[in-house]
Amino acid sequence: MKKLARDPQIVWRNEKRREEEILAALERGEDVGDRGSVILIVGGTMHQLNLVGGYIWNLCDGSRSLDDVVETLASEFDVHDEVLRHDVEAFVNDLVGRGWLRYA
Amino acid sequence: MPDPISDLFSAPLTFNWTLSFRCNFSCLHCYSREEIAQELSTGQNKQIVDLLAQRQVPFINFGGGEPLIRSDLYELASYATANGLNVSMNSNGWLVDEAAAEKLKSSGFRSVGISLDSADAQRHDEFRSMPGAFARATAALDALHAAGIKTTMSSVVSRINHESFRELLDLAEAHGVSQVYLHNFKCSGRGLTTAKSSI
Ligand code: SF4
Repeated sequence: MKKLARDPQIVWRNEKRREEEILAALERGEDVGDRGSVILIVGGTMHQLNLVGGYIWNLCDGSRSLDDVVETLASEFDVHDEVLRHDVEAFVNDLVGRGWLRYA
Repeated sequence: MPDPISDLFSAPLTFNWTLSFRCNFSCLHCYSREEIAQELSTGQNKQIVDLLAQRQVPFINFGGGEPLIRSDLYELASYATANGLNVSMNSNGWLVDEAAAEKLKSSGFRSVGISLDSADAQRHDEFRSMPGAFARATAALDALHAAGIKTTMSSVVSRINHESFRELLDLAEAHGVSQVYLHNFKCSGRGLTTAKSSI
C-alpha cells in the first residue's frame, strides 16, 4: 500500500508548549477541536493543525500507509475503529487535495 | 497587549539577520549606513545558526548592509540549509551576476529580494546614489530567475514612486518577480538626516 508523505516544500513545526496547554485543557474537559498544536507555512501563509490533525501530520513521514496511520492512532485513542478510519481518511483526503500530503 | 496566537509560539518564525552594516552603495535614505558595529566571525555566526536550529526557527532572512559583502555568506547559508533552515536575503542586486545566482542556488537560497524603488532607471539610480544600479538590479532578477530562485522586489515608498506603483508592478511582472513589498521609509541612520530634503 502506498505511503503517505508530506510535501517537502512545506515548512512546519510542532508547538510543544501549545500541545501541553491543549492536553491540559483536554484533561479539564474543554473542547480543543480548533486549537492548533502544529503550524504549517504554506506559500507564505500560516495554517494550524489541531491535536489529532497534528498527530496525523507527524505520522505521515513517508514510512506509513493510511492503514498504518489509523492503526497507530487506534492504539492511542479510545475510538471505534470504523469511526477513526473514516475521520482519518477524510482529513488525509483533504490534505492530499490541497497538495500538502501525497501518496508516494 | 498579549497576543493569544503569537504568545504561545515556542520561537520566532523568521530571524532577520544583519550580518554586516557594510554596503557597496551609499543610499541617502539608508537607515543602517551610519551604524558602526563589530562583526561576528563565521564560527560565531554558525553558533547562532545552531541555536536557531535548536529552537526550530524555520526562516532566516539576511539583510544589512549588503549581505553579499560578507564573503562567508554562501558558507553560512549552506550551513543553515544543512541544519534544516530556509534562507532568503535582501540585496541591492549589484553583486548578483549569473555565477553568484548559481552559488546562491547551490547554497540553498529559496528566495532573494532585490531593492528597486522606481521603474524609471534614472530615478532609481539617483535615489540609490549609484549610476547603473537599476540595470544591475534588473539583471540580478533575471539571473536569479534563470537559476531557479524565487525573487521578490522591495521598494521604499517615497516621492519618486508614490504616483507610479503600477509601473513598479509591471516591472516586477516583466522580470518574473513573485511578490512586491512596499517598505516605509525608516527615519533613522542616514535616513534621519536626509529625510526632509530628499525623500
Ligand atoms: S539602503 Fe541598502 S543598498 Fe542602500 S546603502 Fe543602505 S544597505 Fe546599502
